[in-house]
Amino acid sequence: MNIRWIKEPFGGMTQWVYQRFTALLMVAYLLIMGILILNHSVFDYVGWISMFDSWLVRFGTLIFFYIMFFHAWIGVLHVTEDYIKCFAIRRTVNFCFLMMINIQLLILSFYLIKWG
Amino acid sequence: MAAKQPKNLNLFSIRLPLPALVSILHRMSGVLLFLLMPFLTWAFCHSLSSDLNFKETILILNAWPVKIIEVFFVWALIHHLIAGLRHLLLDFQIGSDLIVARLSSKTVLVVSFILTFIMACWV
Repeated sequence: MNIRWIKEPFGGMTQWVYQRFTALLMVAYLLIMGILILNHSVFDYVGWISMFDSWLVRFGTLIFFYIMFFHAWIGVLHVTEDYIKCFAIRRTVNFCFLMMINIQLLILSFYLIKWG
Repeated sequence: MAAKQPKNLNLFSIRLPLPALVSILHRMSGVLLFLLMPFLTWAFCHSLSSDLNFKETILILNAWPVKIIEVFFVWALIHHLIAGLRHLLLDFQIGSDLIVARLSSKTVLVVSFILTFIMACWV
């Protein structure tokens, strides 16, 4: 096996590993949350917020969003690289998407740490 | 050298095999999920913030134009998940024979549609 990807901090192989690994973590989270949702009455506020009473669920959800946006970020980089030929435009679009991710993560962190 | 590479820019002249269809839909669903994410973030935070805001969020999510987008979102999520797992298995050379790959791509398309239909009827 070619170990050149260790030398490149964020090369194709590293991205490949991160994306698959985060995907599996997200599947695990979604399965656990699916079971939790079935065990809570999520269509009223008390039931919905009680699901996030647990420190573990809040922390897990926050980690999920960070992992999800990391996974999405790699995906976005691949998609823009494939379809936007102009370097300047690609960089601008990537920057906008990265800002979009950062703002969402900031809001999510704020709500998940403040509430519950 | 680069000029000699054949180029076919007319996408309609290409017959798309099923595994390729699953692959491009996997990418498209990923982009869709990413672009719809701000709305989910907003709905999630808004519904957590207070009882009144929770009721407001439910009201907005139940409006029929929003419901159509939700069905697309759910389909994108399920398709992206199942197709992603299929690609992960293919990466480990499981089911990469042509017959198996064709069958599994058909399965991905059908199962994601059935699950989306069930979710659409359930909520």
